[in-house]
Amino acid sequence: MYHPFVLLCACLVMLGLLAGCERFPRDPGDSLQRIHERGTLRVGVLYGPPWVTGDAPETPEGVEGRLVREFANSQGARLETQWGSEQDLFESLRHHELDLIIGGLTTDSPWRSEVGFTAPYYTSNVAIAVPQGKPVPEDADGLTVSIPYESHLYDELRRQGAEVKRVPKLSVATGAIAARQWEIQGLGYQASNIMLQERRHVVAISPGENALLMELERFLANFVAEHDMDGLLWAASGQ
Amino acid sequence: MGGVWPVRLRPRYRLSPEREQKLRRVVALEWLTIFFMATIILVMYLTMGASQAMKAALIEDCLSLIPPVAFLLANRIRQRAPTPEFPYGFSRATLLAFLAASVAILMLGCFILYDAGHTLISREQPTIGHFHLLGTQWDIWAGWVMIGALIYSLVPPLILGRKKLPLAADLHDSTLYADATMNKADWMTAAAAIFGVLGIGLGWWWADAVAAGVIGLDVLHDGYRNVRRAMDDLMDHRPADVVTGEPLGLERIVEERLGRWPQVEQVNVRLREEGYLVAGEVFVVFRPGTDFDVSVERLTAFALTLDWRLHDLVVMPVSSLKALTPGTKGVQ
Repeated sequence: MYHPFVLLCACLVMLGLLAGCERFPRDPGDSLQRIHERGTLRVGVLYGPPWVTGDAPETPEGVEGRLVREFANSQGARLETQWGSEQDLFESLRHHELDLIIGGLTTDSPWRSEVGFTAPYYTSNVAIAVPQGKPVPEDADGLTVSIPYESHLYDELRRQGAEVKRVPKLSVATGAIAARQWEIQGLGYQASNIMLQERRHVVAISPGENALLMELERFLANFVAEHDMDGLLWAASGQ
Repeated sequence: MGGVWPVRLRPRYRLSPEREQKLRRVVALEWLTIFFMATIILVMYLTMGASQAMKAALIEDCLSLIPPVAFLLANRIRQRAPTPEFPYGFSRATLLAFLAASVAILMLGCFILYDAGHTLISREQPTIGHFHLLGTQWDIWAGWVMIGALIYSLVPPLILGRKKLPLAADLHDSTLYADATMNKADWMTAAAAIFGVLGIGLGWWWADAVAAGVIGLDVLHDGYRNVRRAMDDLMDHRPADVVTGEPLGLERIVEERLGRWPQVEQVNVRLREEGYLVAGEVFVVFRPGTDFDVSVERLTAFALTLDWRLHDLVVMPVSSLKALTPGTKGVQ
C-alpha cells in the first residue's frame, strides 16, 4: 500500500514543479497566447440592450461592448467582432473560432455546460419598486404592478398574487413597478424587499481556456470596482 | 401454536475483554471517520465550483459515509441478546452491513468509471478561474484551493483506513474490512482528482478523466469482490479470513483436536460464518461403550475453546459418519 502512494506523491510533486515553471494555469487551446500573437480578440456579439447595442457590422456599444473594447486594449489587441445568432456563435466558441461571446448572458444560460463562463461579474436584482415617498409594500399580494410589454415577469408576479398592468415603458407607469435594480435607480424609485429574480451576469469563453479566463475575470473585477455599473447600464439603456 | 412457546435460545456471545476494548476503538474510529467525512464534504462543497472532477469526488465522499454508518448500526444490533423471535441471536447483522457497504463500493466504482468515460467521450473541457467565496473574487486560481481541499480530503481516510485494516482481521469483522477498502478508494480518488486539477491547469483536459478511470476500475474490482464475499457469507460460506478471503482452516483444527480424545473414534464437522461468529455441527462416532451423555457436553465445551469465533457448536453423536451425512431427508 505504501508503494503506489509514494509513487503518486512523486508524480504530484513533479507535476507541481512543472506547474510552477511556466505561466499557470494554461490554456489547452492557447487562446491568450494567440490573442497576443494575432493581435486580435475575436468576440461573438448578441444584440441585447443595455448590454450590447448597435448593429452588425459595427463595433458593439452598450456596457459589454465597452467592456470587451477595454479588455482588448488591455491585452494590446484589436477587437474583431462577429454578430450572429446564438446557435452559430456558441458553436463557433465551442470550436475555438471565437474567444468570447457577449450579450447580457447570465448563469441561467443553457450553454453553460458546453463552453466556459466567467464567474458572475455583476448581479442585478429584479424587484418590485415604488415612487419615492410612497409606502414600500411588504408583499406583492393584491398589489397592482406595472411592467413593460416585453417583460417576462408576468408569471412570477401572478404567482406572488400581484395584479399585473402592462405599460409601453416603465417611465409612464404610475404606482408600483417590477424592474431591474439599475432601472429602479435610474427612474428614481425606491426598491422594496420583494425580490423576483437575481440575474448573475457572465461572459462566455471558449471551453477549458483557463489563462484567458483568469485575465478576463481579473479585468472584469477591476472594471466593476472602478465604475458605477447601475449608472452605466441606465445610461446605455437610453430610457 | 400461538403465544410464547418456550424456544431454546442460543447463549449470548461475549467478546473477551481484550477484543471488547478493540471493538470500542473501532467504534471510536468509525465516529472519527463520520466526523472527518462530514467536514470534508463541507470543504469540497465550498470549493468545487464548476469542476466535474471535484463534483465526482464530492459524491464519492457522500457514498463513503455508508460503510461507517452501516457498521455502527450493525454494531448496536449485534450486541442484543437472542430473543424468542430470533433464537439464534443477531450476529448476522454484521453481514447485512457488509453487503450494504460492499454495494456502496460497487456503486462508487461504476459511478467513477461512468463519469470518466463521459468526460472523455464528450471531450468536456472544464474551465477553472478565480476562487470565489462569500461573493468576493480572490486573486488566486481556484484550482489551487481545490487541490488544498483535496489534500485535506486525502489524509484522514489514508490514516483511518490503515488503522482499521489490522483491527478488521483481528475482530473478524468484514464490514470493517469493507470500510477500510472504502477509505482506500477515497484517498485514491482524491489523489486522482489532484492530478485532474493540475492537468486542467496545464491544459491537459483528459488527464483528470484518465486518472479517474484507472482508479474507477480498481474500486469496481474491490466492490465486486466484496459484494461476492458478502453474498457468500450470507449463504453460509465456510469460515474465511476477512482480509485475504482464504479459508481459515477451523474445520481441520476442530477435527484434529477432537479426534485425539480417547472416546472419539471418528469426527467430521461443518462450519459456517455468521457475521463475526462461526457456528456449525460436529458429527462424532464414539467408541463402543462410551457414556456419550456426558462426553457430548464435555466435547462441546472443549471444542468451543479452540477458537474465539466458535460459538454454539452442536455435537451430534452418530453411529457412523455416513449415518446422517451426506444422506438427504428420508434417504439413507
